[in-house]
Amino acid sequence: MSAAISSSPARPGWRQNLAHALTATVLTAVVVTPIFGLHLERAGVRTIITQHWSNVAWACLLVFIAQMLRPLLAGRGVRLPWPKLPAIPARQRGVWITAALLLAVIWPFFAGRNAVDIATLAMIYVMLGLGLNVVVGFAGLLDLGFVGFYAVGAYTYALLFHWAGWSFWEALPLAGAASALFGFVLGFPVLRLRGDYLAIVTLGFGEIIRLLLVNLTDFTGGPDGISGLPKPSVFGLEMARSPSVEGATTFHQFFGLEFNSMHMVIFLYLMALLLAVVTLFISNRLIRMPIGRAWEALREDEIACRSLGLNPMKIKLSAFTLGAMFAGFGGAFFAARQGIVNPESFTFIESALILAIVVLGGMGSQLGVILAAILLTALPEFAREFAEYRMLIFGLVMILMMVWRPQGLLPMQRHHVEVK
Amino acid sequence: MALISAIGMSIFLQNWVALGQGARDMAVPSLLPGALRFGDESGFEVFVPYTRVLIIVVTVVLMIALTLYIRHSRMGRASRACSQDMHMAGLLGIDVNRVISFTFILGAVLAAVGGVLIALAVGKLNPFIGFIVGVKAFTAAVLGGIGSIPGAMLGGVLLGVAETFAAAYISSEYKDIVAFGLLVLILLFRPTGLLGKPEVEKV
Repeated sequence: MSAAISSSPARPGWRQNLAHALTATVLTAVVVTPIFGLHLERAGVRTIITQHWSNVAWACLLVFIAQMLRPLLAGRGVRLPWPKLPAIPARQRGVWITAALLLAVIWPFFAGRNAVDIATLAMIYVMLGLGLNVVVGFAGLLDLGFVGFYAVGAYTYALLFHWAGWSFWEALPLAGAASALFGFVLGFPVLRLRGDYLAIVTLGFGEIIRLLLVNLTDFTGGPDGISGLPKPSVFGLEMARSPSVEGATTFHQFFGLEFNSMHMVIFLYLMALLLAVVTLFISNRLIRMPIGRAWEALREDEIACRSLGLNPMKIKLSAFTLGAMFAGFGGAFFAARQGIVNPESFTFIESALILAIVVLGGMGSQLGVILAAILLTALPEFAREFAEYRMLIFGLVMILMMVWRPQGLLPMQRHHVEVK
Repeated sequence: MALISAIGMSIFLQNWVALGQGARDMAVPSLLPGALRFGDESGFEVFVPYTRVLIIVVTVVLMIALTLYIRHSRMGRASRACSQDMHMAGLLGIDVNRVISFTFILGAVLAAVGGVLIALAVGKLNPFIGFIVGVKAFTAAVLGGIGSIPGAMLGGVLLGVAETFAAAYISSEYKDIVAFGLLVLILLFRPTGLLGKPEVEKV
């Protein structure tokens, strides 16, 4: 340590620095040893411990060096500018949006099957993210059971098909309605709660819905779920090689095309895109309506909101119901796309993923949510060799975002008017 | 938004362990075989395994130790002050960040003891057994009243008994539903829990 550094009064002395680094190293050893230093292995019926001290040594060394270097680097690092959208004049915005939409509609016709499939999945998550954004971002109600409503939507279609033979298009509005009803009914008890209590109760609801789906075996098919769900038709035209009903025309026969399974993939993508755009449009309008303003007021200060004569009950319920409805539409589409539903698709981790999308994008920021949804669904697909690290990184992202940038990648921008 | 980072941490730690030790079920050697026997051989026999006895003994000892510590130690007093009014406690010279770190460590230690005990009793474990237990711990704390140590104990016992009865009389598949249902009912009808005091928000 040179004299130039120790003469600076703001820096802690190197002794203190060493003490910090040693403490951090000991803590690292404690944390790493039971997980990576000692490895449990199964040898027949017995479990034996093997020792890998090199892992621990490397981790300790790394932490020690990082801690020793930290005071030197503190304050010197270049502050990376956060991504910020260029300000687009309101007149040009329409042009940009149209261009983006056109691009989104056209590209699948020139892309590979896999890419379009992933994009379809991404669009489902865009829809779910925008739905949860209404609840978490706009109204500030932390909902950890969002996947429950997604499950209700998916199972509404599956059950209507299984028991009554309804088609996708007949079941879609009902799936949204059923989810909205669930959101409304489950919203009632949680109205008086806030913060962490609300989060845990919604988590409980999500789990109850999943457990019921698992256990009502006669009605829902239990853990196996319901399979053989038909894909959506195009204005009554089936998208298959041959019609399932005698005498009906299929899509490729009607248009005189060669049968190509890619048609179905592109059609599903376009539908997902349509649903996502509709969700975006509706939530974008809602936030500008009095009800949207009320959501934001409630998020900022519930007591002030109540003092101004707004009914928090109505406001919370409407946010909960609308968010659930979007999840229901998403669920029905998901069921139709997969052709099978089972409770495995609706675990807590799925709720956490949707929440992470909203958190990463920026609570309340619609563009942020869309980008985060695409990022979080597309990246794991392109980096399959890191699949086992996926959830690890995902947890890490949630922590780091909350510590360093709680407002998200693209923070919400309030609608305001500036007087010049 | 502390809860979001807590969930992130929970996901991170579970997968951290899964990465290091594998995600599959693992057998735990029984360190304490055998059982206490009540009743005679001809009629109604009841076996209580030593591991269960150990659980009860350790739990009672820890409950007493925790109560004494929170009630009488300097750190316990500081953490109670922080739970009442964090800002004021800071003004009175309590190092609030230190207290928060300490309570997190204490909570994690108690959870770890619970983990060891349950692994001994059940005989197998995997990195993901803790999630549902964590939610149930929250349920028990809410049931008894947040902030009350005897309340949390009472809540835990009630929750466990309710679950067991549900498993016996309805079906074991529905015991989790009963636990979550209980949580919802308590929050609906007595949000402060059985032994909690009502919290008034001042503006």
